[in-house]
Amino acid sequence: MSLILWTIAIAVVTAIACSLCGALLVVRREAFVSEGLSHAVLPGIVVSFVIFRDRSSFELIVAAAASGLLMVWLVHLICRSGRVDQDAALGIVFSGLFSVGVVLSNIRLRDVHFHASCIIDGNLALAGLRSFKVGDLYLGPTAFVSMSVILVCLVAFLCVFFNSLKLTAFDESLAELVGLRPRILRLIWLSLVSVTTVAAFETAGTVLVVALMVMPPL
Amino acid sequence: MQILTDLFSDYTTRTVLLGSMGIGAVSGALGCFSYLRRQSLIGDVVSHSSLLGIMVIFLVSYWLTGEGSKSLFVLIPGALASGVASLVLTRWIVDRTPVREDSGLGTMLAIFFGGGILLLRYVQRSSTVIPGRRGLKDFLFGMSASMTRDDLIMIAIIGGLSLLALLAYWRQLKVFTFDPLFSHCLGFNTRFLSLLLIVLMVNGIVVGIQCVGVILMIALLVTPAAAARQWTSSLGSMVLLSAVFGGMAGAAGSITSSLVSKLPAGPVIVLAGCVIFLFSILFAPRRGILTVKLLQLRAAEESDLDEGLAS
Repeated sequence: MSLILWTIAIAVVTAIACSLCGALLVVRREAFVSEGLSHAVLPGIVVSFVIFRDRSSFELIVAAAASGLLMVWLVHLICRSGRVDQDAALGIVFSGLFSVGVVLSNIRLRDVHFHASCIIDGNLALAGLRSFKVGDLYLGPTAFVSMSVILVCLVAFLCVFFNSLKLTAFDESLAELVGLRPRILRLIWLSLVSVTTVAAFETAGTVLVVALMVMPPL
Repeated sequence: MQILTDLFSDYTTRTVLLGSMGIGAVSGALGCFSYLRRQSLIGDVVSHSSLLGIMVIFLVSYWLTGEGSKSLFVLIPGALASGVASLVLTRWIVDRTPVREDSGLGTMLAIFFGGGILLLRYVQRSSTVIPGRRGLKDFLFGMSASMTRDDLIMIAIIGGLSLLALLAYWRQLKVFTFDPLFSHCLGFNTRFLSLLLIVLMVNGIVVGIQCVGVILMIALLVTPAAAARQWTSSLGSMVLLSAVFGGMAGAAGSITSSLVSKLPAGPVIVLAGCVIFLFSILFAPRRGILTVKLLQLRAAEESDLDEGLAS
């Protein structure tokens, strides 16, 4: 397949994965969680980059997803205390985490080509160039493979838990009554969303990730 | 002590320090209203959206004069216009379609900020060198270090006007913030009040962009307000405290970043705000999490003691 086709394929897979994530966020009136996540993953990215010095490693995605989850957990913690409501808590936590990321990248990464602004606009044109090989077998560009894996995970999760997710989204207390675990479901779901967010950075950048997540479900 | 006197005797540092404190105080005070109306995230949308206005004005000034202007006197009207436009458009969409507010705002953020980034990259990478394009990207993360006397004057003008408007409409705004319906019944012009609050918030934002950049601006609005809320239950003292907290964060951030060479001021200001917030939510009298725990423990001990005496 030619480079252009691969690039289009990457874009399509990324867009599908993002809009799947977004559908649930929009239904739950949490569109801003995607905006928050797209900022909060920065410290994870910086930390893993400082340690592994690799811009497209598996560790990077995991670390970034972890810092996304840290945001979700902190917001939950602050809201539960009943002293600040969710919107404000989200704003405080994600801007704080993003600052941590910027400060870290300024202290530790001055010498290398890495800057917070490079995750603001991703680079779709370059995404097709790095190829993913198992042995001698060419499987396509790395970005395509990782996005496809994430897409499969998302679809699998949605298929298995669709009914529970639906119930949780519309009536959380009922979901708890019938024996589902809404909080754990939500945690898994949001970690999938943050993994998708990070993986999509490389191709789409933060701004477009938010657009891809919020607009299609509308 | 020596370090501090050195700091204040240096002209640049003094300007930056004063500017950051002023910015922190103004946006801290103005942020209280959106915090209390549970519209904190609107600030995030406005600040991101203002990038488009800044870039458009920059390009227009380039086409007109041959050099892109970075003077705040030129850019701020653009930032104001696009910030308000994003909110008005959202309102329009939410009123006319089944789209809900959070998704509408998210969409506007993506469109306006995306447009701003697009223009920014065009200006940075266009083959014909556009004069004045260096340093434009600092609007993303702030550039308090390059603050000048003119900027201070601009901050003082906008901040002063906003605070005057706040004082002039204080009673109406107070009622409107806590109970819009009631204020309508009292015969206040609620459309005007809501617009006034939006304009005030946008003022707070465009002033702060200079200091922390469009991406982190939300923190200057929300964090001091949320911290101040923990200490008091009266609007007046909340606005005052929030301004003080914002000023403290601004001062702490600019001092730290002038002492430690690699630290950018904007993010440090935000982190200072977070520390203030954390301290407030844990230790504030009456509402603080740990204070409440401590009071409960003491009460339990006392009741134990009472029982012991009674028996």
